[in-house]
Amino acid sequence: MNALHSAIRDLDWLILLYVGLVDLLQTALMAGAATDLAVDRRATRHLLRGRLLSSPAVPSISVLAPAHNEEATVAAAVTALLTLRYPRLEVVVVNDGSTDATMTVLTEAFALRPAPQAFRTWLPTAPLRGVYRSQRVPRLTVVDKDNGGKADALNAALCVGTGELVCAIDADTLVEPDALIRMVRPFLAHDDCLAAGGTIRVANGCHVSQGRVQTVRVPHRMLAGLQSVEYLRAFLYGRLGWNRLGENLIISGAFGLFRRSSVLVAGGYRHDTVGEDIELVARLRLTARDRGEHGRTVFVSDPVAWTEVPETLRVLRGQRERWHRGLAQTLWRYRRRIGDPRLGRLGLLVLPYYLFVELLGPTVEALGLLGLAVGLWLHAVDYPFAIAFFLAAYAYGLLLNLFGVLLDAISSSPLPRRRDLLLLAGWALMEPFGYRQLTVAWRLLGLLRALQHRSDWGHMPRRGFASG
Amino acid sequence: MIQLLLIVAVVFAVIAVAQLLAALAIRERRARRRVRVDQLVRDAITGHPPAAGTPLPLLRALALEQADRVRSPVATPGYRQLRSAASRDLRSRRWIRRAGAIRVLIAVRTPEATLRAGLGDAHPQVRALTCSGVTGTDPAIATDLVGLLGDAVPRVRFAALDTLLRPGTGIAPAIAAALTRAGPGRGPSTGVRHRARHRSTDGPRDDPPGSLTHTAWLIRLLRVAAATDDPRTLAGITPFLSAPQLPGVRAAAVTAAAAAGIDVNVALGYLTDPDPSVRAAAATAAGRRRAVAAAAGLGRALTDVDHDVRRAAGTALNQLGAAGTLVLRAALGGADRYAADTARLALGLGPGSPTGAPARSVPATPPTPPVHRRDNADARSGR
Repeated sequence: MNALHSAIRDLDWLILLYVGLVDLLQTALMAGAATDLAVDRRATRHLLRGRLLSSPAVPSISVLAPAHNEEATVAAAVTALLTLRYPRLEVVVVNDGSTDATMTVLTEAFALRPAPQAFRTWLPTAPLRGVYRSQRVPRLTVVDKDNGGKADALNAALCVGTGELVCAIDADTLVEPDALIRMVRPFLAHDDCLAAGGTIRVANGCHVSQGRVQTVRVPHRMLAGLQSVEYLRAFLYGRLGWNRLGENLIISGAFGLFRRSSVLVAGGYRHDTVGEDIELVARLRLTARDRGEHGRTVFVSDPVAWTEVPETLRVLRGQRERWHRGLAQTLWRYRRRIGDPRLGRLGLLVLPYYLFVELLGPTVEALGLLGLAVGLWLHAVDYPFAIAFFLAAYAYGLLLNLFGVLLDAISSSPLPRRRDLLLLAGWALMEPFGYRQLTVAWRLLGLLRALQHRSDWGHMPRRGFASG
Repeated sequence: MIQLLLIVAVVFAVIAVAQLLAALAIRERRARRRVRVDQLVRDAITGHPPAAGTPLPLLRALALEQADRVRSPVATPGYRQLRSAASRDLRSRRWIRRAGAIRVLIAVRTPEATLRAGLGDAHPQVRALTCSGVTGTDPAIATDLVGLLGDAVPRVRFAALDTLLRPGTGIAPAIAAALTRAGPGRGPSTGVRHRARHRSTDGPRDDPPGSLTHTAWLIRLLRVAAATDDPRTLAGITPFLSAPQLPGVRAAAVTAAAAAGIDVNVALGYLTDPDPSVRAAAATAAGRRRAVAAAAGLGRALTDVDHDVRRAAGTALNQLGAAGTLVLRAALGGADRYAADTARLALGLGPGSPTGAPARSVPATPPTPPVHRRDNADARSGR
């Protein structure tokens, strides 16, 4: 029994050390985020954004929108994409073997006619059935192809698209009208910029009309509200912080801007992973490093896209489990590069962080909770110490959550309502209780499934945006 | 240890609450400011310009809002005060103040000569911002803008290019002079102020100076020359038509020369250039010039080994009108299936056409450079 006591105590100290190190890193990320936001705001305060909207010199952008069985929303979504404010814009919609009337809806809504254009098939894809152009909107191209999955559809769009940059978005993502003009900034500022990501925010609770978020509201439903705090934390301080610490490894697949030539040279999106976004960014960065280039991936906080988050535990579990599985697959694929000093901060800090904190963090956290339970049962844990530790951990979690809320108040546009800020703070207070433990369990499940080599995507039904 | 943890918890909690209060306070401040500026804008629109005593920050916000939203600056006592403050700020040691001053001066439509100092500023943000606020009608400013195409900082180069590519700028003489100075064989910095003096102590550290190669700069210069459509640039462009080691420069020179009015037969001569990008540029140039005499040459280019050249030739023939259509129709029934395919696309004949087949995907090809190979033009033809 003494040996067990001693083992539990040792485990507790190890976990304490791990938590201390992780908190230190999180604090560094907070400092990085604050610095980056301040620098970016100084740099962009005097930017004449309106002038960019009529610029003949901005790089052309192809928005890539894969659609599979989206007959109900595809016309509104494509219309919203076509009204994005960017001077050199092309929208490439890929009907990825839909079994419903997606193609018919597109054909009727945009007066499509067959106009097979010349393009190189740089990347292997499922067979194409045809390429169509709109007679009404010249900048719309629709590719009809056999079903091959999201990565396959994006690869087809990469081949057909002609833009210097490509913006990959999910069909259910609502992009703010001026998001592209904001997100292109890193490409104008750095010749070696490979990819840029923008902020994804939670659209649940917002008033959505004609493919646009018209009125911003914080969700009243608990699960969506807790996720909105999580998204703020992940984007506004996590990814912003990495801009300063070693640059991002994740550009969200729902809303990211990439240099097309770099993506083609790197081989496009991979079919054999459920985390094609993180895998692509990791590959782009490693390919650039191998060629002796810097290869920046920049997170920009002010371009905003809205997404509907799951409102049931079952769907949320599937999503989180899949995300974690994708992370595990990517880190396993590039395991030999973790700790590689030739990669600089990417090899020595970013990749190890994603391995030890993002991927293995849930395991450590679960071990800690298990150790705590066993320790309490065996009276091997000092109660006052456990309570004090819990309070410190909770207060730190709250600090991180409210830091996201603070950054949101500084940077968000339009101005948030006071009651929305307070509601957000309420969700931030609640987030560490129960919700976080659930996500730990789901991520752990994702890790286990990755070890079993599961590669299914699962199903994510959505409620749809209230329109009016 | 427990006490320490409790102290840490209290400190964290206090910081967390402080963050929330700060968020609320920032929100209130932004809201109040928004209301005041909106009121000022409304007053200005309805013919009640700001009084002389209006605080400068509000005036500044109003000027910028008006420039963005109303696009009609008003000369009032308030604005005179603002302009003189901005002129003072131009001499500030802090770049952010200088940038603010430039933006205000642009917003209140100050004569461009006043802004010229900003083009030579030590900070790239100020230089970039000034580029965006001038038009280049003043020859001295045009020369500066052309010089900034070779700036060490990408965003300045972009801002200069953006201004120079806009129609209406009188930059042809400046471009011609720069091209003459930068003739083939000159060093990378020839003719361009690479502005070592602009590496400022307060500039961003992440922008490595001098990252633009000479070739990239030349291509950029020729791109601007092409956008001017001005024959005065032709003398400067001509030497680059024979830049043997630089196909990218040659291609840009062909495009620029065509825009400047070079003899179409000279441009057509480049349809036999060893580099496909030059051949494609020549085909595009012929189409742009609507040179009917080029139809036969473009017809031959339909059988080029390079996909981009075939596509450019097809598009160019389409632009020629009846003469081009004849050549394209002839190619439809020709022996070369690649030429027939290009012709079908150029004529807008879909997969259901008598000579077309349903589109299907083609075998994947690895990303290889597009040089002299029969690539998959059949991506859209179903072969």
